[in-house]
Amino acid sequence: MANHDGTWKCPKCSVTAVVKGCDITVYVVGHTFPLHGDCEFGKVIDHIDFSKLEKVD
Amino acid sequence: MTMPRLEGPPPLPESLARSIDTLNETLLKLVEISGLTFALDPLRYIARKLRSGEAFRDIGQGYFPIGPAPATITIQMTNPEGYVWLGLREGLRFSQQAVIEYTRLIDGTPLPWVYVPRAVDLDIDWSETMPFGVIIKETYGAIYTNHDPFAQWIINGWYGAYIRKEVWEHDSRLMDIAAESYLHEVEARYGKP
Repeated sequence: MANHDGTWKCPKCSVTAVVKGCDITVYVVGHTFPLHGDCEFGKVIDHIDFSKLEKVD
Repeated sequence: MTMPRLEGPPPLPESLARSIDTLNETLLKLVEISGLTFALDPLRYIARKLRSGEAFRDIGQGYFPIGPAPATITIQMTNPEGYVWLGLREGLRFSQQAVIEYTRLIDGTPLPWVYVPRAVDLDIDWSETMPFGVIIKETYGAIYTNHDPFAQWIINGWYGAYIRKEVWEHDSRLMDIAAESYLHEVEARYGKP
């Protein structure tokens, strides 16, 4: 699995997440997660298509 | 012609008058206590706040898969600015083979709840803590770690309400004042414990 460590942002819902290895920490306002059915952050980490996300740092 | 002066009943004996005064005071207190019990009933309290616009409902559900062990998903939820969260009910369902280590944090403090269930679902009755118990002031965290060698899934559903922070603080103070007044009265009557 490629290294995707870092902070990522979904361009659709602006939710950000920090990825480290196979762990992911998602930051949302409110309790709903994922906010939309096709949010990449709602997938198993090795199925996330990082090309659809914006790298924040 | 002058009307004869009507004489009222003879005055009550002083001890009887005092007893009636005490009885009246006690009845007023009972009305006050039952009024507070009515007003602060958790579900009635929330329903009133929702109708008044001081709170808005938060009903939702989520589904998310979690990768093979030792993958961890941490979800850090932040209240909309200026609101606290009052939960009513929440349910979590895991896939049949899931062995999920599960930790909750309220405002950064982990609850003494760590579950490593296999095919065991979890219901949380938040209303037990309502409205002046466990309030999520700012953040709510959930950490799920999968201990199963295969990917698993989690679904959750909840209903609760976001209430304006200053409204909740004001109502909490009223509740404190009411509770303290009765506590002190008990102490005055029976002495300090």
